[in-house]
Amino acid sequence: MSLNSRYGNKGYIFTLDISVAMFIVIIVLLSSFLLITRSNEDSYSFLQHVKIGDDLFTSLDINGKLDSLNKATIGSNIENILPSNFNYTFKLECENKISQKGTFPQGSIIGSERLVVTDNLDFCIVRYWIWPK
Amino acid sequence: MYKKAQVNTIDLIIAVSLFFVLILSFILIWDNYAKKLDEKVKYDNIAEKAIKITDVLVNTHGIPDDWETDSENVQIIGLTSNARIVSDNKLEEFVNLDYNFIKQNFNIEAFDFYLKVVDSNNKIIQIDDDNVEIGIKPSLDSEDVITIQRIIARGGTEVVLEFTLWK
Repeated sequence: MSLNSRYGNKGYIFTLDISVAMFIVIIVLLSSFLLITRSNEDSYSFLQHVKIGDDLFTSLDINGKLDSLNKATIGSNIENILPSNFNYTFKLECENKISQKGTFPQGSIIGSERLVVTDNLDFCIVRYWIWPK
Repeated sequence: MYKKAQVNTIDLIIAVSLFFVLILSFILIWDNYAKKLDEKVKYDNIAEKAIKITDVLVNTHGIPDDWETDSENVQIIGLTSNARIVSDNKLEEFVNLDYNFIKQNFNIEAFDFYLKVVDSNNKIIQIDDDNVEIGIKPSLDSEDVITIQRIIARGGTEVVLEFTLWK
């Protein structure tokens, strides 16, 4: 007589039950873990990068420091004031000239743009990326 | 019947053991997540306040517009005179305000803050020989500390306003 026919399958019911329960609980825990990990991404840190980029190019524009359209000059002005814990890159696109400093980084960084009117009435768009070092 | 009952008992013991291991793991993980969530809520709260305060400081004139002429009746403190250009008069008046009055105005009575304005050499700027800084610096023991840096235009140059909110 085999074990199955002698004892039937009833003996396994608790193990099966706990296995199913564990499976469900583990799925719930994993889902919670993923959701909490996602919610832990620091949205305010990203907001700080957006704001400091906006501040930087607004201030430079107000002070006429984008008017030269020269990437070295603009880069120097940026490095002069941007806190040392940030990296940057920018691309200034005007009708007849494009100035670009650095390469556009890949990954989860934030870029933004601003319309700039120079002293010579050039209409340009500056696109910039600011991210922590 | 006797042997069958034995099998069920062993199975029950295994099942109950697994159950307790699972419950224990669940409690530990839950506790860990609850702590993380609590920290995040506290950090978000302080970060949101700091960002909103610096937004008002660097983007608005304040209410009334010329509050620096009668700083005792200021309703909202803003530091700019024109669009995004900081006013020296407002800065000077701001750092002379009472620390607790500013905390009350910013609605951050439960926190402490430190604000300074630095130039491109990271030196605190001066207006009429007075450093533009106000507040209490956080200590190494301070738990929740956030510093927001904002760049503002000032007289043809750019300066960095650093606002630290801590508890």
